[in-house]
Amino acid sequence: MLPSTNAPRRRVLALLIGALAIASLALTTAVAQADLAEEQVLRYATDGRQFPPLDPSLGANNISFPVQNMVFDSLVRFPPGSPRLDAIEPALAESWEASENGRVWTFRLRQGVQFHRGYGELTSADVAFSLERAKGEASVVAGSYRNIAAIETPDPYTVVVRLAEPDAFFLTGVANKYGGWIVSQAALEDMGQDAYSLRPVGSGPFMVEDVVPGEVLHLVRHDGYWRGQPIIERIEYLLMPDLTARTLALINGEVDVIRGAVSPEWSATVTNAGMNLGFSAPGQFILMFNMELEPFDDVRVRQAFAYAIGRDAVMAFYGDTAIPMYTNVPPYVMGALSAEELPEPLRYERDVERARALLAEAGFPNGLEIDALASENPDYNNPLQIWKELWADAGIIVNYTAVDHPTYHARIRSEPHTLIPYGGVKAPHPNDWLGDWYTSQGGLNFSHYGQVDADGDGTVDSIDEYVAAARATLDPEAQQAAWTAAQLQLLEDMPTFPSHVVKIAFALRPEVDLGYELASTVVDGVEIWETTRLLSR
Amino acid sequence: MTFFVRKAIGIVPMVLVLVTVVFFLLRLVPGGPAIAVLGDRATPDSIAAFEARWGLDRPLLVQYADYMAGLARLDFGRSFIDGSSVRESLARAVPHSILLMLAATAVSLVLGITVGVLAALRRGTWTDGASRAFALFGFSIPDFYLGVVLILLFSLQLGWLPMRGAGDWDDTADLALRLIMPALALGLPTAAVVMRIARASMLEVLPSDYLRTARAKGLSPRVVSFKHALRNALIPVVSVVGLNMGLILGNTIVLEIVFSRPGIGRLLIGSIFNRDFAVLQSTLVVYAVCIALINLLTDLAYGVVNPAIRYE
Amino acid sequence: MSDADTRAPAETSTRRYRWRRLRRRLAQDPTATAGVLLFLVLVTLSIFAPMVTPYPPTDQSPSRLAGPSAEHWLGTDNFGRDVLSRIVFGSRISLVTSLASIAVAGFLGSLVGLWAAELGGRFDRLVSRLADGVLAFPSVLIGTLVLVIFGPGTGNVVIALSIAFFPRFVRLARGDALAVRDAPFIEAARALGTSRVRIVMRHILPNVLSPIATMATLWAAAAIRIEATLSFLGLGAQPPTPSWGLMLRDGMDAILFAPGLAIFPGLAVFLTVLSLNMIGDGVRDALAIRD
Repeated sequence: MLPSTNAPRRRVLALLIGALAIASLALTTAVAQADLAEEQVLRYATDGRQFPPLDPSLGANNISFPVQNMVFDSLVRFPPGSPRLDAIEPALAESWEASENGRVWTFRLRQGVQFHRGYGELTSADVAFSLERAKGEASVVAGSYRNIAAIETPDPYTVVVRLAEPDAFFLTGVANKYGGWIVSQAALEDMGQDAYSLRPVGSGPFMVEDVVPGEVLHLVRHDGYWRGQPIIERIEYLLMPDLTARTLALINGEVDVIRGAVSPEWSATVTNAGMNLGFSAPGQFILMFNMELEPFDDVRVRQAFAYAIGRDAVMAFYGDTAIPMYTNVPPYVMGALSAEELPEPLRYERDVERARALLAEAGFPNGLEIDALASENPDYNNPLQIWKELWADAGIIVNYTAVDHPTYHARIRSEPHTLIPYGGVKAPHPNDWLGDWYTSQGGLNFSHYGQVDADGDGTVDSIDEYVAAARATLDPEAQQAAWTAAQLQLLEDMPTFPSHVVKIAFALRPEVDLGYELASTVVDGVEIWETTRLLSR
Repeated sequence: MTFFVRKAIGIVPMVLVLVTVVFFLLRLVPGGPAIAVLGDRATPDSIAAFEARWGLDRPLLVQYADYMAGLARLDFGRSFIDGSSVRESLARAVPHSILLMLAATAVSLVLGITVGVLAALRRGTWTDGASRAFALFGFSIPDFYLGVVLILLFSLQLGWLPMRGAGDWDDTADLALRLIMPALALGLPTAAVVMRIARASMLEVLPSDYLRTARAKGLSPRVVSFKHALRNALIPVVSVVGLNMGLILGNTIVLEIVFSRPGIGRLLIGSIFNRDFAVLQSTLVVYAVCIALINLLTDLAYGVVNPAIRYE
Repeated sequence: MSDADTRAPAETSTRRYRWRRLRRRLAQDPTATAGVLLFLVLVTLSIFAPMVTPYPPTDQSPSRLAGPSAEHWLGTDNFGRDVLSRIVFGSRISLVTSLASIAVAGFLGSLVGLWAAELGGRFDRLVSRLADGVLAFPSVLIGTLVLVIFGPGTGNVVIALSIAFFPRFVRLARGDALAVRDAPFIEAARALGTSRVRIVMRHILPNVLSPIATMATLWAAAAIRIEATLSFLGLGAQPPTPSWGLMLRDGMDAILFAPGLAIFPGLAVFLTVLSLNMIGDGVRDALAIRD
């Protein structure tokens, strides 16, 4: 070793250590980022043949919801992957308060939220505009917003909504669904209705770039999104009505997310191929008895029909893609009574003997025969096919004729029918589930509960008072008491047999990292947020 | 020439009658478009608003006049579901259907004529028998079932061919790949018909000693007279082609559903279930015009090939 | 004057002779014989379906989407129903709808065609124009339109198919009647002053029966195929009716894990159509051979 001073050697050493540090830092960063796929393009294939209008007041079905959720923001949102009303989060509104027992709601908006394509900042004017449209005559979601009496915008970041009647659950209306999605007033007026419905302008994490009607919707990320720039750069939202083709495309890697089927065999096929499953906020399936028609004016006949079928056979058919529904409020909704909380007779487990006995009591010792209308839609038709065989065991012959789904809906609204199977999705609180179907003013009340004498005691039976009571108070215990009373009464009077809740399954490729846990969702699709990303294969 | 001009003009009343009949009958069907579009959320208010927006609450004759006036301007209306222009949807869909139809016709002609001529030349041998069995089987198999079987074999089992879609116009290789199975499924049954006619007319035209010699020696010696015979033998085939193409266009609907191809079939079936009036009516018009044009072209071709009928 | 006198003496025995010759020719044709046998088997199975099948077609069992096994030779569908039983019962739908529609279309269409040929003039022109108009459109499309307007279901399918095949019979009967009307024995009958009705029904009709019957067989095969197509599109038979086309449609969704649900019903359609085509071909060949 050459004799030398320490200084140059220390300098070299320092440089070496510095270089090593930088190198290892770069290496670790590179390794950490190697998780992400190079191309952040998500392909999402869903069932359907056409895109509905994407304007939230004009389009509201399971094809539009996932896209609308990507394109628009709302005042509040359900936590991604678990739509519990009691866990609702701030979104466009940083904070809010309710006063007068839920008659007046005041929201304070976040500042600096930008609309797509340079349409400026989102202000209270846009919120007021959107809610007014949702309420309007031409709106397909007007029913949920009728209670709004007035909307005030004292300043650009404050919205005050005055309701005609107190509604403790008003927040569900301004969450991420239906009229809660806020549109850009400037863009709508600028583009016109039709153009806006094809390429809407919102403030959400993604914006619509292009659409090929009937085939695919192209979305790109909104760089100025207020929660942060989304990791996914492009989304292709494809329509593929053939389930097999969709499934194959997923397994082959041509698409990353698909809407699946309610079938345990399908779930098995998909999970065996290494895909992940997710489930959506399910819809209920109920069987309404028209109490204005004989023999369903007799509570014993209705109970007999219920005891004859139970729920086990339908559960066996659906496997793990369905949950039995024991009360008229689905089990995943807050306030729903569980099977254990119900007295045994009200659980309506299958009991053919009891069914026959009830029929005999009601004057049908040899069983009975009725005609009914059915829909061809498999979700409506499959349970009916199962029930028909079960009813036969109890001496009940049901002759049903099937018509296509739109005709079915038209006819049940214009003609009286004996049995009305019905499915539907509502907001996650009991008032929404009890309202349309079981209150005397309800628009889907085909059983006419609340309008007739249901239990044969000479007086009209109704749950209207319970529903009103729950809405008029902000006290959770009082609400629960009302809901419990309503559910028990409905089970005793049996105007409708609550059968099951069908989950909708989605399948995702293992590389899809949603950024949250998909246990359920209100959006009837897979929610893609700014945290979603694609890992490398 | 006037013969064909007359025939061409003759298409118009037929199409008009069809459109009118369908127009009025559609509006008599229960469960109108409002319910189909609004679905479970349909309430009397939203239904009324929907009908007002689309002018469905006006008197039927007014709606009819409006639609016909639009047709004259080539304005086919808009879809109730997504508001898209029907003309644009048709402009996108028709080429795909025509492509499939032409491909299937090509399959049926190539396959049918080849097998038919071969069967005629090898008359009485097992080739002939096998060809006739092929024709019988091909004619009996439902085309959509054949499509499903092909999918099962080549897409699901072997993974060789894509099972759905038509591909992009700018990617010819992909386009061709996705055309193979549907064209086969659609073309095979009609290939059977072509095969029989080709065989029968070939047998009629060729002198029988030629056949015997050909069987014994192969084709080469009498190529010239063979070509002449072939040309004459194909005259009946031409008349069948027109019939074939009509048949093929008819069954295109089903096969487009089986293979999820973006053609007229998908528009038609989708609009039926959705009660999407403008799409349904306009697709029918275009469809009817296509069929009429095919018939016309066939007559034209037949007239060219066989001058005798031109002066009827 | 009795009827027997106005008929040419050779006629009756010619007809009987022709039938005997037809049967003999058919028996010598292996394809036709096979077709007849196959068809008879299908019809027998169809008629005796409840006795022949191991399970009722709508009986649901807990074993769903099972593959072929000893208990279920062709497996079960997504409701646990036995596929074999459903296919056998499905033959009833196919056979009844096609035979009924061909019978209706054949009866009415032939009558109209015969009378169009006889009456000529404006009636003939109108009928021909209408028939050509309808015939210009593919049967599947006509069926689709009818079912959209009238609604789905096997009954309406019969109506749809009858409408689709009616013009074919009209054209066929008209064409054959026109060919026959100049025959000497017809002229003779006219000269004798026989009424038109009698001429058409007693003289012309019997002579056009054989070509009509031949085509009817082939068209019945087509009708079965079209019924399956319409049910496949969801416009025809409705669940839980075990129509083959409907079974194929349902089978498509499960094709990844239970391909038999699609394969077997389609095979059934194929075999039935095949048998009818074999018979039709045989009859046509037999009749075409010149005396």
